[in-house]
Amino acid sequence: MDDKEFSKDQQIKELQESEHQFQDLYDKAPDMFASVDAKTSKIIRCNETTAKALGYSKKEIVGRPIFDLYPDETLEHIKDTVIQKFRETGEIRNAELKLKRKDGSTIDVMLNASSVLDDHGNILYSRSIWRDISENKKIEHELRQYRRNLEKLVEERTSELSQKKAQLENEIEERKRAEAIIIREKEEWERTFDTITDLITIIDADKKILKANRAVSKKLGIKREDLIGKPCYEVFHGVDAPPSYCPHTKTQNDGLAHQDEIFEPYLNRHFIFSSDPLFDSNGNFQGVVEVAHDITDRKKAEEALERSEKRFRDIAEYALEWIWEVDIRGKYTYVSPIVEKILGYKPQEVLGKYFYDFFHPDDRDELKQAALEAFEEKKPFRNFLNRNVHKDGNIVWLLTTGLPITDDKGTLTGYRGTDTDITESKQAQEALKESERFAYSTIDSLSAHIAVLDTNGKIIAVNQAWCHFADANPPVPPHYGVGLNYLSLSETAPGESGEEGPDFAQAIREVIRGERESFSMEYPCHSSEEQRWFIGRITPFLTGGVVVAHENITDRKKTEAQINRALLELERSNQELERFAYIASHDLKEPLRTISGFASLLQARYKDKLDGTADEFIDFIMSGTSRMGQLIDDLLAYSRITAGTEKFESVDLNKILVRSISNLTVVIESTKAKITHDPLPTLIARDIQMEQLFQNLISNGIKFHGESPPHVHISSQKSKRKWVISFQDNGIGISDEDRPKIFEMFYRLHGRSDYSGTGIGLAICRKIVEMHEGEIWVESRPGKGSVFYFSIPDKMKGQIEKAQEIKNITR
Amino acid sequence: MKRLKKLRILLVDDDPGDVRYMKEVFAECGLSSDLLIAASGIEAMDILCRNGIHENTVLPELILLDLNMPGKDGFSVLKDIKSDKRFNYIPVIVLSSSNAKKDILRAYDGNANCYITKPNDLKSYMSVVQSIQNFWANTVRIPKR
Repeated sequence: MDDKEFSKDQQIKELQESEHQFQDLYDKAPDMFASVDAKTSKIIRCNETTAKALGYSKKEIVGRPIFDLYPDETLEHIKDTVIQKFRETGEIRNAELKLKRKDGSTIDVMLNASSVLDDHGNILYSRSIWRDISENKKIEHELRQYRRNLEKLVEERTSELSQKKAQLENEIEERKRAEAIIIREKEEWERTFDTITDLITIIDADKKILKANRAVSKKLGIKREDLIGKPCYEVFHGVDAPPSYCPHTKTQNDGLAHQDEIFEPYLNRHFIFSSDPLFDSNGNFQGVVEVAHDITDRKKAEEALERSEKRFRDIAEYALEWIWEVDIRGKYTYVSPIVEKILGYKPQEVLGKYFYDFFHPDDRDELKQAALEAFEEKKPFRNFLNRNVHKDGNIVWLLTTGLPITDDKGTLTGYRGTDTDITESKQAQEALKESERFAYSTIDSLSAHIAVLDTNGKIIAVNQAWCHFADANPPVPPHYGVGLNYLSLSETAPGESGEEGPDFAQAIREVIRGERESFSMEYPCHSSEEQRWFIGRITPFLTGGVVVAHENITDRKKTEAQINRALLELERSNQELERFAYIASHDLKEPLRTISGFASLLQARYKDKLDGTADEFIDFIMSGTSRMGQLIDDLLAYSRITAGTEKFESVDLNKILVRSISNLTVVIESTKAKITHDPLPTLIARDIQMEQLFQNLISNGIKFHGESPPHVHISSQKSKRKWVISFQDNGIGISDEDRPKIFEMFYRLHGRSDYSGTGIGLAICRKIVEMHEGEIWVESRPGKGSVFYFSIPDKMKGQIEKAQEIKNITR
Repeated sequence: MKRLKKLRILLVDDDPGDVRYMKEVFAECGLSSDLLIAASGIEAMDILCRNGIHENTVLPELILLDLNMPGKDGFSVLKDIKSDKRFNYIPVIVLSSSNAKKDILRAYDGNANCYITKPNDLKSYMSVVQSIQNFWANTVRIPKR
């Protein structure tokens, strides 16, 4: 616009031209241009370069907020720093930023911006120019990279060098250490070589000693320096040439290692010799290393062990005790053969079984428990009593003793021990116990209160009845008095028994001292409830003490009192009865005699003077009265047989017989009877009663005779405790059914016309015999005769009287 | 035949039957005895002591005494007789139905001159009476007052 005179159109045209040019310039400029509204931050305008560089069309860019063109991660920096600065200064100079392309990639740009202001100085919009500096950036980056590589290379070289140096230093250190180790090891080896108790020698091919350790020198008693160069056979075997067993020679011959157990007589020791060949680097034989291990002690120990084992076996095999070993669970690992004798099982049957397998089933669980508890505590046990069952089923009592077996660490590995068969002594013990139980249960079953005293009078045992009595009569002494002194108890006994106590104590002393055989005393001991009586008996005991037995005899006492009362009553009534019988018969006889007397007078004076009937009547009266008289006499005789008046004495039956025969003279003569007898004994009896008995039995034998003249034979027989006297006749005999009745009073078998008699004779006999504690019976065969027997106890006089007294009392 | 001496006898018995029977036995024996009768012990003593109605009675030469009597019994009579010098010399024959040893002993204890059990039958009775006659009348000497 050089010329202001251009016309308006020209002007406009020019302007338009200019604008067009500008526009073209604007669009084609190498830099990117854009204007951004200050208020909305939207792009108002941009050039073609901008659109192209960012991959948009111009239209796509215009109207977009400017921030869309920056990568998101840079927005903060742009807003906070770049825009802020722009607002303050109104421009931006050479700010390196990144722009975001449509495809998301970025380009490096340099931003220069200026502001366009309105009239008031406010920013209307900004004008930004971005220059693509991507290429610059790239070159710059490459350059930087290259430099960095170079530096790195230099660095690497430098470090490599220092490493090499350190390595070298290390190697030097190592070498030094290794040398030290080698020196130390050598020393150690030398020391070891000398410390080893085995004899070690290095011998050359000529059997000369090159090296020997201290053990060799010590064993051989030769200094080390003296050994070197000597032939080995000389120093080791004491000979001039290698012996046949020389291991060195063997190794030299075959180049192999050899080992042998050798007894060296020269040294009198056992060795294990081993020889190892030495070769040089070319494999040439140089010599041997010989190691001799002295096993003499081991040998001795082995032999000792062998001997001890043999000893153990011998003991185990022949001992009466069963020796065994079990493992920790109780399984038998060794049993001695004697087990077969004890349990009936062979050792091989027992091995593998458990110890409790042989226990009696009743005890098994309990014993097993107890044994395993002992195992648990690793305790030894002694005399453990256990009941086992023999193979044949019998009980075997064993007494077991066991010791724990432990290993080196003290861990239990099992038990070993012995079993002793004590069955026999156990049985004896059982029997003893049984008899003790028997004895105890016997004294416990007694109703008497029993205490056993020692020689000092101390109570050492009491029975159950004693305890029950104490329980029922408190206070109960401690332990029911066991341990207390009975004598002092007796002497201080309170109450009623106090009077008898000292006497009783005195009697105990006397029995203990042997001054009395035994003692018994009845005494009252009334309780508040009842009247009681006791009997206290003292009898010597086998230990030298005594047994004191108290028994309640209250019942007996009461019974005795009752009996005594009854006896008195009976005696009185007996006496009354006797008197009655006597008086009755006596008084009966008076009128009877009157009757018979006058009947006789009638007969004497008026016979044949009255008529025949009257005579007959008078006869009846006569015979009736005479029979009555006989009856009364017999009754009288019967009632007179009492214990009362006549005493027992020595009675010669031969004499009795003579008297009886004499009494019966009339009858004997009239019947022509024959009386015979064997010698008769002398007895303790009542004389008159015996006479009556004999008389009755003889007259009985005569009376019932048959056709032939009567014959009575009297004999005697002694049995253990009695005499039996028999009266045999040849009479009519007695039938079986009649036999039991003949001894009853007034019993008559026969009509009065055949045989006279009242029927009292045999009843009297029975009464007499019974008064003598004897028996009377008859054996008979009708028609052949009878034998009457009576027995009389063969007692001493005193005994019979005593027996009689008792009988009288109880009668 | 020797003539029998007549004895004066005192029979002491409470049983009239026995008394009569004794008289009859004497009769059967053909003896006419002078028989004094006392029906009780007391009467017997009255006679011997000649009390009351017996004042003039002549003392007997022989006494037959029964034991079993009511009131004063034979033993008591025996004792009185033997303890009285006026008539203790007169023989006393105890004639009792008792056969008891006790009675016999007691009688002799009381100085009875003999003891006879009354027989049961007439024959025996007669022989007893005759024995008495033979012995006491004809055999022994009896003091006379």
